[in-house]
Amino acid sequence: MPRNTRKSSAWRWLWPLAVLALLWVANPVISDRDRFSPYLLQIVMLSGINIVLSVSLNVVNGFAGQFSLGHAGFMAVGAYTSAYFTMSVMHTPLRLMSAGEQAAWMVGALILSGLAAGFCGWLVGMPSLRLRGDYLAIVTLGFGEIIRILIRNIDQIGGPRGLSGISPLTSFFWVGAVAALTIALSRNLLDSTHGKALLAVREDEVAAESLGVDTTGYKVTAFVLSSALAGMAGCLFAHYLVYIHPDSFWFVRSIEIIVMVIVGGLGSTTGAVLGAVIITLLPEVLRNADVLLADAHIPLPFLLKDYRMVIYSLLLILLMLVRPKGIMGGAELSWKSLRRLFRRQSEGARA
Amino acid sequence: MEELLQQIFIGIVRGGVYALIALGYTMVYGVLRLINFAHGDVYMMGAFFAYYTALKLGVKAATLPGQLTVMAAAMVGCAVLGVVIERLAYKPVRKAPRLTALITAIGVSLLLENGGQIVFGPNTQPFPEIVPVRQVARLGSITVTNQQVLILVSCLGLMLLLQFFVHRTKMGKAMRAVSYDRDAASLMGINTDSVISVTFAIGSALAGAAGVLLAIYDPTIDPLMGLLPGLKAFAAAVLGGIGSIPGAMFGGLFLGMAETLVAGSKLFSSYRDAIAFAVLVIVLLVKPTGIFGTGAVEKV
Amino acid sequence: MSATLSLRECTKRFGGVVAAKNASLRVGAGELVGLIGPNGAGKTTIFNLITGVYQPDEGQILLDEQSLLGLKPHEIAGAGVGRTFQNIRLFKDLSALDNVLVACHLHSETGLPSSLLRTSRSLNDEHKLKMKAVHLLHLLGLGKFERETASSLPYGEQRRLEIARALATDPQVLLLDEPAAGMNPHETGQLMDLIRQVRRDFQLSILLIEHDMKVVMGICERIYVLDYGEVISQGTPEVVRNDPKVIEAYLGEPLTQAGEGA
Repeated sequence: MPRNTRKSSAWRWLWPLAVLALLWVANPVISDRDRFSPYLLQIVMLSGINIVLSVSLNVVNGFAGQFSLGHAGFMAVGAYTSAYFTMSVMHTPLRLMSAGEQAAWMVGALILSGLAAGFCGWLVGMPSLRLRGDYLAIVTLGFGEIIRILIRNIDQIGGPRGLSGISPLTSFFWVGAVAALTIALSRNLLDSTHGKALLAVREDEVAAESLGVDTTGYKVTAFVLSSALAGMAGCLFAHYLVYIHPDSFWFVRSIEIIVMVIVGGLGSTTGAVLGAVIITLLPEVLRNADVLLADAHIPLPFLLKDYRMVIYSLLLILLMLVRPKGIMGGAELSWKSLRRLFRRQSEGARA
Repeated sequence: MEELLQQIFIGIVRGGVYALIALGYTMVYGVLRLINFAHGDVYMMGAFFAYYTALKLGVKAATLPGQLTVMAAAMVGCAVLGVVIERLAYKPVRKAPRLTALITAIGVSLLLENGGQIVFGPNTQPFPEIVPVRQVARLGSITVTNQQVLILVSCLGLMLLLQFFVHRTKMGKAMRAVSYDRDAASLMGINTDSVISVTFAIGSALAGAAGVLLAIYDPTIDPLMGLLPGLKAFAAAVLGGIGSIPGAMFGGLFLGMAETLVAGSKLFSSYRDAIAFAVLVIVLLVKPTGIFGTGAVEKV
Repeated sequence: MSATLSLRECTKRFGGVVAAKNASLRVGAGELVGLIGPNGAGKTTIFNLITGVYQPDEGQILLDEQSLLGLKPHEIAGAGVGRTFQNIRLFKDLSALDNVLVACHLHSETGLPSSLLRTSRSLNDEHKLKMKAVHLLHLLGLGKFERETASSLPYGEQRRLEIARALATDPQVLLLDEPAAGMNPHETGQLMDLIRQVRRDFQLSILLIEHDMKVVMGICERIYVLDYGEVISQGTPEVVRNDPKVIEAYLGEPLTQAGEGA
């Protein structure tokens, strides 16, 4: 018999509220230049945005098993839509606004970017999701590039010059909140029978159909959800960097996101989070490695900083050779799995 | 109209080079089911092998033996590079999930690009003029230069050679067998490892040749030059039906022409880099396995 | 609730090969009907036609009064036709429970949005579906494998899990494609009991493809014999067993041996 999965409803609503409250409290501390280095804050913010991107891409690539390579395109749609929206509609300067007003604008921009990117995801997904494997990969990659080049050709949003002067609405709180939302959605999805149906699509489409799973419908739904979240990541990105350029969203960025997913372990939400953080941190760690090495009195004949991208790519190859299924190998980290691990170890100690 | 014919001709020339790169993608995909993301960078390496050989040769590079040496250096260099990449990076993950090999390939690609920026310098460099451009013919209104002839003849020659190899030699037959069913081929006594190595060698050599040819035609080279042509050549391979050699040739030519035509038109010239993908998307939506591809029918 | 399934003069060609030729067959409400024939006779094709994997070139397929033509496979499953596969097609990396839960999703009353938000309605619903899945697993003797991944189950249990999974869609008609393949006589005996029990408990009509003649002759009320896509004989096991056309189709071997040889 299954464990009783129904926790008291108060507890279920307390969790998200607690997370939001924590973010709210941490926000002023982390954003304070005197107490927290702006450089570190930037890494934290970019990690958070990358978490949204990789966890959402994992829904399509990991859960539904559809190899999509166009995530940057949807991110671009979200970034440009929301930036154009706040630039053309929001006239009061940010410093004259109350926190509540700012929050309202941010929520509006996020919702709009999610809707726009989700709609584009639907437009792209409807026809392309009947393609399989590598064909789907190159078509989604192609759509991503088409979106980028379309943006380059729309003068109202800056065209090839890029779009500057976007309000810096994005704060640590919002990055954290959207990242938490993405993780929660991804987990809730996997815990539901809808999520199981999605996994069934990945495992065997013919069998899934025979059990009444509308495979096309599920693929499109997963794709739309994932695109919408990528769009929200784009919104955060645009209102954080306050300047966006079409080339910030070219296919190399899509590839970077899939690298995060696979490094973490395809199909694992925990893995996607880890992968996003590692891939964001790694170049920065390598950038600063020289200082650390000098402090530790380890002399090197060259500066690591100069070779950081080479080392980065070597590490990537090495990781794949050592852990072909990524860091998490498809497994999830949860209280349950931790407890199990702990129990096994204590049993091992006793034996 | 004259303008159009000239554009089509230029498109064929450019398409021939795309086709050469696309062949490498399609051959590797055929035997390994791997999108070799580093293939565009192998093409870049070919251009740089040629660059350093030409510098070494100095003025002699512009003579016929010199030109042949430059070409041979690029092709052999790339062939060796391709085999080394396969042995070190792809072979260990051959049994891992397919996406793992893809990420490894991306890693190799990043390594070549970033390593290239350190070794060759990040800036664009002029490629030595080893085949000075000169007009050799006028067909009606179309001007033809010796470089264009060189590219067309080389592409055609290499493709014919490849066709001969794949269809008339023992190794070619083994290659086809491996691409049909690797396990069965290995049970029939085919050394799949060496077949895969040969495939990488040939595919990379073709990319190296493409690198030299395009460097002669567009005489600037840089460590990131492989990115976009690589991607477009991959699109060409898929367009033709990935795994199909005639498909890759056709796809390359088709994309080359489409792209040149769009770039030449006044209205859409800024969409040049999108056209390859637009064509690809449209073709795949009509025929999901590419023009020459055969879909595997799933047995239920 | 059981329903009537009928194929009327269905034809399906693959290039030059006629996989089904004017095939007509009928499974009455609550009936247990066998479909036999030599290898390559087109038995599985018939299943694929019924379940919408293929569309027939000619003919009609009806579930009670409703035509199944033009419906997608998942719509046909939703209409009440469940099936298993000849070459087991479990979701290998999912647990036994999850395999059944996938099939339960047809009867999920909450949509994706409320699942994403974990509303209490969706949680209640999930709980109900889970209870149902667990119940099915226990019914088919798979209770102790609940958490095991499908691919780690013993062969016989994998076959039963496929049946459990098909039952979770609440079918009216169940199509079983060689459920006894690869089983030893003891397992086969258990399987026959199981099929009878399932039909009774779930009030199903069953169409069964099977090479093991002991099974077919033992539990089917009527049998259709297919050869080269055509129905060459039909009737009670007794009639079919002695039909010279059937014996000829099986290369003149007595049916029992043909079954054991398969």
